[in-house]
Formats: sequence, structure tokens, C-alpha cells
Amino acid sequence: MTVNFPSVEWFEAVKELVNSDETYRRIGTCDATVGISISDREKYFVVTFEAFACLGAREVTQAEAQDADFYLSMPYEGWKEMLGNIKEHSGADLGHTLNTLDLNDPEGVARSRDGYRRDLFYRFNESFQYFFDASHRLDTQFVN
Amino acid sequence: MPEEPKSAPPVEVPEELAGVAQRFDFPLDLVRRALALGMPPHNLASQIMSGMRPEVAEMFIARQEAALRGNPDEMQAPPLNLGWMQVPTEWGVRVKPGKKGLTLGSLNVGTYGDIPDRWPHQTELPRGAHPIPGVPGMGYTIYDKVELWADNAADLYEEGIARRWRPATDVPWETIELLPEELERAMGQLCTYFCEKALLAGDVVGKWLPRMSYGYHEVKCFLAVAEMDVARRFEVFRKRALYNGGGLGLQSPGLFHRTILDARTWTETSLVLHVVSDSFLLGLYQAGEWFAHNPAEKLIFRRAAEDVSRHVAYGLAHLKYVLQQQPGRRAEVHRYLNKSEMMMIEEDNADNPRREALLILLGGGLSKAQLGVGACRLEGIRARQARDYQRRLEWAGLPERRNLMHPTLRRYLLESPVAA
Repeated sequence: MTVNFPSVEWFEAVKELVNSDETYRRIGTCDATVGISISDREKYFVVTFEAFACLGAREVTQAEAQDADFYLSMPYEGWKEMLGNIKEHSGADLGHTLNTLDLNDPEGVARSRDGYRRDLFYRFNESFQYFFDASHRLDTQFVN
Repeated sequence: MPEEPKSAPPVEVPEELAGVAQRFDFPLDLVRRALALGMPPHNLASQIMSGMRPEVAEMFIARQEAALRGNPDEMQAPPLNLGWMQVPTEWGVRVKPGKKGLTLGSLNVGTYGDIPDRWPHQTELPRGAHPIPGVPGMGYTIYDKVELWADNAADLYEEGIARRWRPATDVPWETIELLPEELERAMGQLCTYFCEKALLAGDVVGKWLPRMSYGYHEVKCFLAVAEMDVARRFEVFRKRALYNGGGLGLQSPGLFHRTILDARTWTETSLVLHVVSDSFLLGLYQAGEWFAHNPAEKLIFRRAAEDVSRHVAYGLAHLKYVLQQQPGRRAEVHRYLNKSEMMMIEEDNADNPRREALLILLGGGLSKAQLGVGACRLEGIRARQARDYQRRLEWAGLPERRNLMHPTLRRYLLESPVAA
């Protein structure tokens, strides 16, 4: 299935994949709102996770994305590289996990105004990694 | 008196026991029947001399004889009191499962959710149950909610249960390939440190758990799961150290360990262990995931970071609760932080093996260029640790800590972000 990135449809497609995946459920409960910031394309989304499922995604303003528990901020090329790597290797390789990308960036990829809520990035990191890794099952078309 | 069972074998009654039975006017046929069931003579004599009544003995003996025969119709039920059914606790409670199932926090309905500021009971009485007089006290020392409460304890307990992982089978151990010796030695040294931290955390929490009264079972349950978390961390890092042809390394100087162990209240302990120590440990696990050489190490560090971040969350929420309830303790909290930051820095400076191991792992080797990269990255990690620590304290209600932090840490707050 071919889906454009970035778009609500893309996140919804990944949502459908993980919600029907027993492995995702077995990782455990995950409760977080995750902002997605692609500021150089002025594209912002919020993806909501609750209990054993991803509830869905919606397109939002920059402020709304930054008001999430934490938001993942990368330029478009960064997102493209990460998702391309995930597609190529059926999951992020050693150099493209969310945590690695976060440490590669001096400002961090996972950001938040709230020091407690930002830690949700760590508390549920395996779930978020699994979510993005699941996108290798999509045919992602990058909207240039 | 009921007839003896037809199949009862002849039993010889020892003379001494027969004498006791006669002296206490205890029927000899009951003695024979008890011996036939296997009761040791000296036990039976002791029971008779203690005043056991024949009718009570008859009841127990008949029940056992009926059980041997296997006929439930012959079982004699003991007389029932049933007064306990009139217990004056809240009745008719019906809690329902939610999206995460039936969670601990969802049980806090009605009187079962009344969490008092001071728990008045010294026993294992569950909150909501009815006490009876005369139960011996258990020697708890923590009865005040402010001494251990965190609003997120019940949720963190469930999260710890739901997100548990199994190092033996969940880690793809087979993806670990041979590493250059310096990297394997460095990993072994770092794993040794992580094992120490885990054992210490287990001992510390284990020391405090029995002191906490049962009015705050949410916290006790969370800490019990935290004990499992640290056991798992010890397990997984020991396994990694011994998996790939290497081994463990030198133990650490242990200076900071003592600071944690010497804390005199649970609030101080949690502050030092969860807010300070675990906050910086989380940064090291994040670094571990970053320099991980294979999918196994990636998973180990990612899941270890998940576990320890729950402990940080508890510590922060407890600190926040303390400061909200007892704002006059702010200066006291800063003193604990002053001491623990200082000892942590001193330990970091003294633990040369750990520092060198990190330089090697972050840089990827022993060459001058690699060590240079490692040094730069280590500075970046330290900056990240300091900034994350400060932001956590700000959330907990200590924004002024930014200006009071140990200078070694504070400098990272003043400088520009350094690439990790």
C-alpha cells in the first residue's frame, strides 16, 4: 500500500499495522501523546498512544505539536533518511534508532517543555521504536 | 460415643500414654483411634495434658477417619461461627476493567480509595479491611503519607508489570559478534558498574520496604516491581559481560553508594537514588543504546532505560508531593542534593576505569582519533544528563536548583548544547 509522507494517512496506516500486531501489544501498555515536527515543511502532527493501542493521528499546529508530552523534531530530510533506512533494513539499523538520532542532535530530537513528560520518550521507547519500524511494511512515497 | 471403625487395626497404647489418659480422664478408645491415625504418642500426651477436651478430639478424629474412608457424607463439619460475615467494611463494590485491564488504581473506589494522611495501624491490615484487637505490631516506622507518597505509584506499578521483559529469551543474544578486545573489555567494565548499581538499588529499597506501613500499598507494590526491575538489570548486564568471551571488570570506588545507603529517611533515600543517581544512570543507558554494537545491545539498553525511567518518575513525583505538602522542607531537600551531587561528582572523578571504558566505547576504539571522538561525545552525554536532571527538578518544583547545582553540572546549563 502506497502512502504519502508526511500525512495523517501515513500515521493512520502505521497505526493499523501495530494495532493488529500481537508483538506490539506484548511490549506492554503505552500512554503518551507524541508530537511530530517537520518544521522546514511546516507539517505538524500529534500521534496518540493509549494502553495497548495507537489511537490515531491528526494534523495540528506547531504549538499543538509542542504541547504534546514530547515531540520528535527533525527536518524533512532527516525523517526521509530514517524511514528510508527502516524500509531498507525492515527496521532501524544501529545508526537510525530514535534514541541514536536523538543523541546525534545537539538539541535532541525528542523535545519537551516539561522535564517529566519528556521522559515518556524513554519510558515507552520500545513501543515508539516498534511503531516507526512497522512502517517498513508500507510503501512510503515522500512528498517533495 | 461413636463406634470404633470396623477396620481399625489393634493399636497398642504405650504405658506412659495410658497413664496420662487415665490421669486426665481421657477415653482410651480415643487414644487408640488417634494413634491409629498416626499421631505420635508424645504429641498426643502433650495435647491431653494441655487440656484437650474429648469431644473436640472426637470431632477431629472422626473427620480424619471419614476422610480416609473417602465418603464426604460422613464428614463432620465443625461448628461454624460466621460472625466474620457481618464485618463492618464497605460491601457491594464492583470495579470494572478498563483498556488496560483491571488496574490497581481502579480499585480506589469508595472507602477503599480513602488514602489517609496518617495510617494508624501497625499490622499488615489491608486498607479497607477491619482490624481485630491483639494482632502483634510489625514494627513499621513509616506511617505518614508525605513520607513516601507519589500520585503516579499505582500507574507505575501497572506499567512495570505490563512492560516487563525477559532477558533470557527477548534479547537476540545471537546477534552479538566478536568485538575487538578493547571494546569487549570496556563493555565488561561498564557492565560491572551497571551490575553494582543494580545490586545497590535492590539492597536499599529492600531495606526500606519493610518499614512502610500498608496504608500506602500503591507505593509498596511499585517498589516491589522496582526490585524486580533492578534484579533484571543485574541479570542482563552480567549476562552481557559473560556472553562474548570477555568477563567482568574492576569494582567501582563505591563513594556514591555510601551516600545512598547512609540516607536516614525514605524521602532522602528516594531523592538520592531515584532523582539523582537514576537520572544520571538513565543518561548512561541512553549512551549505551547509542554506541551499541548489535541489536542485542540496542535492546538491552533501551529496555533498561525504560525500567530506570519509571524509578525516576516515582522519585520526581514523590519529591513534588513532599514540596507541595511541606514547603518548609525546601532547604532540607537542597542540602540532600548538595551532598549527593558532590559525592556523585567525586565518584565520577575517582572511577577512572569507568571513564576510560566510556571513552573507548563512545569513540569506538583506542586510537588517538577515536579517543578524541569519545571524549567529545562523553562531554555531550554529560551535558545532556545535566540538562535533563535540571528540567526534571524544575518539574518537581525546584526551578531554583539551576543556580544551586554543583558547579561541575551547572556549567553545562550555561554553555551551548554540545553535539553528543
